[in-house]
Amino acid sequence: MKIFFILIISTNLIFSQNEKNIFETNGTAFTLAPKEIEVGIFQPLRYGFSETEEFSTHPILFFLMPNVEYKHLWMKTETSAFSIKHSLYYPTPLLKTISKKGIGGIISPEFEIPQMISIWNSFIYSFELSENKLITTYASLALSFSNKTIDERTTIDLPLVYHRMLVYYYNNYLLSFGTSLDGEISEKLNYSIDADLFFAPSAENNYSIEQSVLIGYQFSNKLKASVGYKFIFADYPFGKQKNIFPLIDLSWSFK
Amino acid sequence: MKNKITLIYYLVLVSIFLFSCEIVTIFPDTQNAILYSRPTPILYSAKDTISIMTWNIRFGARRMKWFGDCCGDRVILSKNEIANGLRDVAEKIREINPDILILQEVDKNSKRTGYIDQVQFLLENTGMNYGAYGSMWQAQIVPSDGIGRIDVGNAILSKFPISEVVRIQLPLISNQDALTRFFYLRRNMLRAKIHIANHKDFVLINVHSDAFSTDGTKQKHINLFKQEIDNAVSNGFDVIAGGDLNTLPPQTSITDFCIKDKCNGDSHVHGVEDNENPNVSNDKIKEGSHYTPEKTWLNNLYLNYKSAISLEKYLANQSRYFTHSVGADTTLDRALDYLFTNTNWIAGSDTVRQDAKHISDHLPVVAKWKVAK
Repeated sequence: MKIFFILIISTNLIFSQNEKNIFETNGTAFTLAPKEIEVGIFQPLRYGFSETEEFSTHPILFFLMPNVEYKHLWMKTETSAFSIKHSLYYPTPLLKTISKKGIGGIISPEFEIPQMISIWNSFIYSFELSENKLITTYASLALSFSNKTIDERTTIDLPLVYHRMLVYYYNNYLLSFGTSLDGEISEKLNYSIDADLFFAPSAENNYSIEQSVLIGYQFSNKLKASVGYKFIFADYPFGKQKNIFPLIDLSWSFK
Repeated sequence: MKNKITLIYYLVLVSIFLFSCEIVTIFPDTQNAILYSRPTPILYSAKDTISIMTWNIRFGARRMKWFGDCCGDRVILSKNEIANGLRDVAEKIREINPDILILQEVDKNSKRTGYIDQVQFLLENTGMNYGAYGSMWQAQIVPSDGIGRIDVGNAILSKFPISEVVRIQLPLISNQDALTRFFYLRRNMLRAKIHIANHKDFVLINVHSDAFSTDGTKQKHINLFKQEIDNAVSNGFDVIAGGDLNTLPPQTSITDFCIKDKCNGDSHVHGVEDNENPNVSNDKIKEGSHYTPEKTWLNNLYLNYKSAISLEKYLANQSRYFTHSVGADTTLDRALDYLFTNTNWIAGSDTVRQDAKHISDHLPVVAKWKVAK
């Protein structure tokens, strides 16, 4: 159970551009205001470095999977924003941790885990469709570099995980595209609808389509709960598979 | 909402996997098996006498030192190992040319064997027309030793039409911790009807009973196997039943293989119940090699039904009928695989194909049987 937990956190970590929440949050083109800090247990630690720059990292998993993200706001108007995001991940320590004999061995220990990094480069554009409705789209190219080719038998054949890890296999690149709509239904109710495509052109089983809906309820200025689902249709080495997962999120905010 | 920062915790992505991903398949007591058929069946004329074969093919891993059963450390096969292993299995089946084949340890889209559907592969490469499959271990991921995705089970392949194929769940081992039990094997029997034109339909039963239990689960499996034969016979059917029973014929000379099967690091090897040394962890104990307490478990089967290899024949020359040796060791040392019927086998048609000892850790048992009209 512990291992699954780590994996899911890691999934969020690697693909944080996938998370579309509400205005000016992690998934959009906007950056945090200067000196502003946003921190969560499982969300990245974000820091507004300047009016147009933001750094983030995931603090909990940093020691298992060192990571850092830099977002630069290139253009901002009253109703839209365009930014570029670069993310760097070093998954080797985490993969070595789960490559073991016995319980917790997600990857067979008979394979060597090489030194690997991946760099994700994303173009993000957000615009206000109408009052309290924000649309965000992104396109991303991920590249990976390693000191040795990783054995393709080390893949983790799970939804959300398999296709995102394809960046480390088969010519070491991965494309992803997505869009989201974030908006408010009422003062206390909001929603987020998104769709993403992960595509590794050089792999055989190379795509994953994901779609999710979240409805959020603002209990107070600080606490929000969200419920929804995530649907995934993807092509795996063992065939195509559909999964639908419930989502229940807890949000905490502060000034 | 302006000037507010919302921090979202994706706590329940964990529950995504735990509740809706079907990590491990829990099977009902009975269910229809997965059926296969050749798009254009090969035409076989009806026969009065058919050849039956049982074989635990060890998922085409040949004598590889797989971590789970022979002190090995291998888990995921290479492409060459997979291709060569399945090629050898298919070649041997074609050479023996049975009319009906019951198989154990057949992989279906498992990570360890390159996600190949081995039932489909063998159907297409052995001249068989119809197939059925019942999984004994199906999981999206087994988070242990890097096994990953697994689906392995029993299969039936036949030149003649099969119908009413049912997967029958066998009892689970009761003395494992909850987590191990959740991810562990769920063994089963397959029961099918075989139809040969102008002949009476008969029942075919394929079983792979437990190998490593220390709580009597294996005996329960064997008893249920016999009960399934009894039921079919009482319903008026002739029956062929067989598989890997994981125990020895009655009166077998050597019943304790604990020392022979011992791995480096094993401190005590007779099973949990015999662990007299409090300093020895139970997880270091090798189970499944001590058959002495099981000496009488097959008595009722031999008393009530005809074994393809009769007990007299076996006892007169045991080594000639050994069907198994552990892992990479090809010195055969025990008989674990059986064919039974309620009628009679064709005299002299029985054989254990010991020439296949490099292809799997179990050997094919083959015999001919007359189909009633």
